[in-house]
Amino acid sequence: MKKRLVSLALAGTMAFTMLTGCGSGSAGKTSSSGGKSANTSTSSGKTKLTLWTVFTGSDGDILKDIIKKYNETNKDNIEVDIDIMPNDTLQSKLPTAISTGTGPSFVLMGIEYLKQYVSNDCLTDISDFWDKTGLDKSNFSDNVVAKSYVGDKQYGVPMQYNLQYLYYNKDLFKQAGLDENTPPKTFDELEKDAKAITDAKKGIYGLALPKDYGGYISYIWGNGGDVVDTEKGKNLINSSENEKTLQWIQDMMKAGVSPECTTAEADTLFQSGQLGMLMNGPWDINALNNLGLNYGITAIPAGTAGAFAQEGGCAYMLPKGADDATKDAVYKFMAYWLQDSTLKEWSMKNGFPVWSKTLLEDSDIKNNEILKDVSEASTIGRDWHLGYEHGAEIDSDVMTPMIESVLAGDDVKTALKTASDTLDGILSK
Amino acid sequence: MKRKNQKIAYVFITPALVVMTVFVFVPLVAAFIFSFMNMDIYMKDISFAGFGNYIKMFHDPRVWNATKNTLVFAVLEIPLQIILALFLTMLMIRNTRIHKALRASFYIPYVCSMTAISIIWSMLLNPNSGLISYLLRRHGIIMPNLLNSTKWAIVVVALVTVWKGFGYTLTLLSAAALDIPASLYEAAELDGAGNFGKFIYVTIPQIRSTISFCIVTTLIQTLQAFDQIYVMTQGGPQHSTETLVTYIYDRGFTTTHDLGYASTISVYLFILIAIATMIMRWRTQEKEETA
Repeated sequence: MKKRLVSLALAGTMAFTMLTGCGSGSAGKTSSSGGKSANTSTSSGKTKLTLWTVFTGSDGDILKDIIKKYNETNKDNIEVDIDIMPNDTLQSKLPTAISTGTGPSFVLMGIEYLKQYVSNDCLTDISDFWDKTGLDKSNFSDNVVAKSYVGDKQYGVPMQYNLQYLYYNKDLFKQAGLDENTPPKTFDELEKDAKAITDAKKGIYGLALPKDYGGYISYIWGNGGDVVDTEKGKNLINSSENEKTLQWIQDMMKAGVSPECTTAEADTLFQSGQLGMLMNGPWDINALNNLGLNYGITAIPAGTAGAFAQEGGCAYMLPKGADDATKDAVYKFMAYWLQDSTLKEWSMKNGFPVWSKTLLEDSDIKNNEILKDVSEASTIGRDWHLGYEHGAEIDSDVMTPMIESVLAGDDVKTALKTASDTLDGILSK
Repeated sequence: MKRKNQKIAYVFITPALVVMTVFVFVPLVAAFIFSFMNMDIYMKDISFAGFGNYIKMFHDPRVWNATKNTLVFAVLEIPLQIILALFLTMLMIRNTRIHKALRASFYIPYVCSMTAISIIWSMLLNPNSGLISYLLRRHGIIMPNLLNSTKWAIVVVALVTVWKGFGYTLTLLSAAALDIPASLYEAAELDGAGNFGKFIYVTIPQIRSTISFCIVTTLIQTLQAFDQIYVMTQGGPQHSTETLVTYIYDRGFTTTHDLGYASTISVYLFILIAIATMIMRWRTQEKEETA
């Protein structure tokens, strides 16, 4: 009997532990959830906001520092709790979290997702942001601000703006007998320099052609090609211009200017001084500065049709159903972000281009060599299916397999035909 | 008294039953229902699709490619894992301290996270900065990028899975082998059997049910493989390592956010696993009965 009582007590304890475990988990979620329960007054009377974002790199540390400083200094009793996760994770949990009312108070993610979330009724209209905060909208670059609008309604507040750039290792340029202050301006020069730098025996490569890089569109545009007309939903991929471009990329790969690598591996190679040139966004700058690498940054080189780089950026957005108190508190934080002092800290530490007109006049900004180069290289931006409903599918099902196939040495015409057929299938939906 | 015992039994199974209901039975039924719906992750404009998703699935070449890859992965992984574990069982059938220590060390990868193991192996196999590449380069050998090869990537991922899992199979098989009465081995010795003969004619028949259990559980695990593929290759290059589970994740949560279609492929995978498990059980039971 005694044994049975003990067993019963143990089983009861197990069940209780499980239930209380679930209870505390869900309670935690409620306190950090979005929608109407987003705001939780803590014992100290603070308004607690949760922010989900994707800054997993070294820029995430800078963002955390800025938020920490805001939490310590703001006089509105607002505390922002940041939760950083990989973009894949965010995109797989955010829609469900919003639809079940368990999302964050606000979110910071790529502007390419904005239209998708708006069309699925997941974001709050924040068109009153400028009026409520009293900020001067005209002080910020029009093209950056415009990316947070869908039609005439505003759904985001820009956090940063960026293009793709060409990083080059000045020491490797010098070693190869090239002028370290004259980076390539054209695709021909890019190829010539890449070949001159490459020394496979020493494990040194001229240019990274990563299989998962999302920026090959710059090469395609540069030679007058394109992939899709997003306005008309027209397939443009199977063209002679694209065939020529892809063949050129394949020939460079065959010539051994690039290792077989992913974007992350290319970053590591560049940081370790084994790679001459790399195309990437500005998020590498902070890590490179910390390493003390002797590098430069310049615009994506031009092809026969000119130089183009895909635009990108991040914006703060509010999930659907945010109550007025949450909205007010988030507005205050977003207004803090748009102060010149915050934007300056972000740009100076990270190298992101400046898009506040008053900040452009700041002497520190003007005298910062990297920022000067980045700003000069930021005039060739072009919209690569930002917010287009099939954008993610085109990247995943068309571009990535096509580039993998080309880099693997497969027949370029066949790779283009396969990509074109897949694209037809996507566009016919 | 009997009724009292039953009540206590229910108390004991309630926590497990609650967990199973919430995390297994409800999602299973939900996935089946979702497979007949047009619904995305935003839960907007949900409508009945009938067999639309199933028709779409049968016309989707990526599904057939993923099915092929899933089967290739299983065919590579299961025999390797079972044979390796059996071979080591033969060598470690005694219960000395060294054998115990070796069995414990082989078990270590099994308790590690698959994600961590996949990251470590990806780093080791990196042709530019990996340790293996570095050591080979010192001997003048340039290592190819195995994870970037449409032929070898799936083999490498299968080998890493074997490396992680064989310790578990070895532990089960060794435990079963150590339970075999010594008299059977003595009888075999009297009949002139050597070590290999004893293993083939005594050990294997005696642990057949454990082997079949290992085959079935490994089969289910391989058909559901995700972590190692997602971390090491993300289904590439050119979808050559994309399995059904990675494709389900891609459709449901990454690219199209199409939960209805992802659920349809999940139901298809469920049916595949159920058929494979039933065949395996039927075959092994048949053998046990004839033995």
